[in-house]
Amino acid sequence: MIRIALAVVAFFAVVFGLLTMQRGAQDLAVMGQPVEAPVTRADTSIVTAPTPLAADLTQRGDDELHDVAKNVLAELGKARARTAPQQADPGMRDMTSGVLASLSGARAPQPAADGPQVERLEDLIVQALRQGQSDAHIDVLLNEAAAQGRIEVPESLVTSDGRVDTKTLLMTLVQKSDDTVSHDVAILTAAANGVDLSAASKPRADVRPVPRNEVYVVQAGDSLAAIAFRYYGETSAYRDIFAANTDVLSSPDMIRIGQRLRIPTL
Amino acid sequence: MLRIFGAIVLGVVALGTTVNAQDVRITADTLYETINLNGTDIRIERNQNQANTIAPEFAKTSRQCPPFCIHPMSAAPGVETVGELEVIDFLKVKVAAGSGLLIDSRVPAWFAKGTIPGAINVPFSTLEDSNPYRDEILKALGARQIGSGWDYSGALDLLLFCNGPWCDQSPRAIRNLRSAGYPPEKLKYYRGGMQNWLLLGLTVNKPST
Repeated sequence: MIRIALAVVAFFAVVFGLLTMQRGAQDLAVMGQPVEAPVTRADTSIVTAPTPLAADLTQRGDDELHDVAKNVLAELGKARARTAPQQADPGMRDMTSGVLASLSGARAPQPAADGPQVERLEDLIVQALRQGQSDAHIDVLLNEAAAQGRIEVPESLVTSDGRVDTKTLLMTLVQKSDDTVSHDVAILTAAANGVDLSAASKPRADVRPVPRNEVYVVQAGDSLAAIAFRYYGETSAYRDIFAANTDVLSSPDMIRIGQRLRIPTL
Repeated sequence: MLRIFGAIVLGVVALGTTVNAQDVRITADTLYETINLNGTDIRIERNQNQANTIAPEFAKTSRQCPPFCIHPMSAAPGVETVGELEVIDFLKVKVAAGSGLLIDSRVPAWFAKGTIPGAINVPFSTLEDSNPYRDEILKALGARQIGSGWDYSGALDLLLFCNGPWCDQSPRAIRNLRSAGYPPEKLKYYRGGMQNWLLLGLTVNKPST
């Protein structure tokens, strides 16, 4: 008799417990309104002087910059698969073309654009450098463009949080630039400002041979190119790291925080 | 004597009938409006048949809600809601000068069935965040991209409408424009939409593509 009573009480206790946990979900359903995701905009109101990396690159000619950028990007691997927005259905593209056509008709001087403007990563960088933008600003620019599918980002430059590794890209650009003189000047200027850019000198003399069975745990903000640079002094060596970890990485841009990557001895 | 009298009577009667022939005016002193837009003249007037009724498609009183719910008077804070006379004024002043656009937010199929004269079609879906080409449209509306933000100082004034007080397409378009930073003083909402425009017998254009 008592056991039955106890069982009944326990039953109701469990039901009551479940009901109270349910309440949260019900409240949302009652509210009904879908919450609109707030649109976050990076704060570009902070104006900083171009940091040494960007400053060094701005001193070069446009063609030289373009070529260097193109080569660096080619070395950093093929572009990762475009993010979802780019897979927008052709219907949306046609509808937008129609809108743009009627808008340009309504407002005479506007040239009729015919689709999305797919830009080249190197063009974006060169343009930003010409405008004297800081590293932080360029970082925001590239990430926005990548998120909208307007540029193709080399796989090795994708960080563990899905962003573009602008710092490593700019460092590689500096490293690969032909003019050694302004290169050294940049490093000296940086040192005077308390920024240690010695890592960007080429060739990297202080690269120690990688110990055997070295394993690296991926941190926030790491990209394969950055890891390669850290161990080998060469971002293009990301391929070797990737090759040694194909069981963990389906592609170079799939690195995640906490992954344990084998660093091979070259 | 009689003939002169007869002539005067006929004259008064004739005058009387001419005055009464067109008596569905837009306002007391406006029978119709002619507006020149981009080289073409558009004419807005009211249907003069006093027995005319609205098309059955727009006569429904009880569309399913959701999604066809009653919308509030204000589409977004700071965005003015206007009526038919303001729409006509907007066409005369802003659109004719090239500093404004009358925007039909419905999908192209509805736009083709008939719209307010002078309106252009910017389907609400093209202004969603998810449209990767939305920036192109913002630029065509006069916005300038500064870094990752927008400068709207040179942007056009927009008056948006869709099917009526039960249609959510233009409110959505307005909210999307607002979240992209479009200044609220440059946006207006014609809540009445096609429903009210038709209900007043005003001219409808079938755009030729």
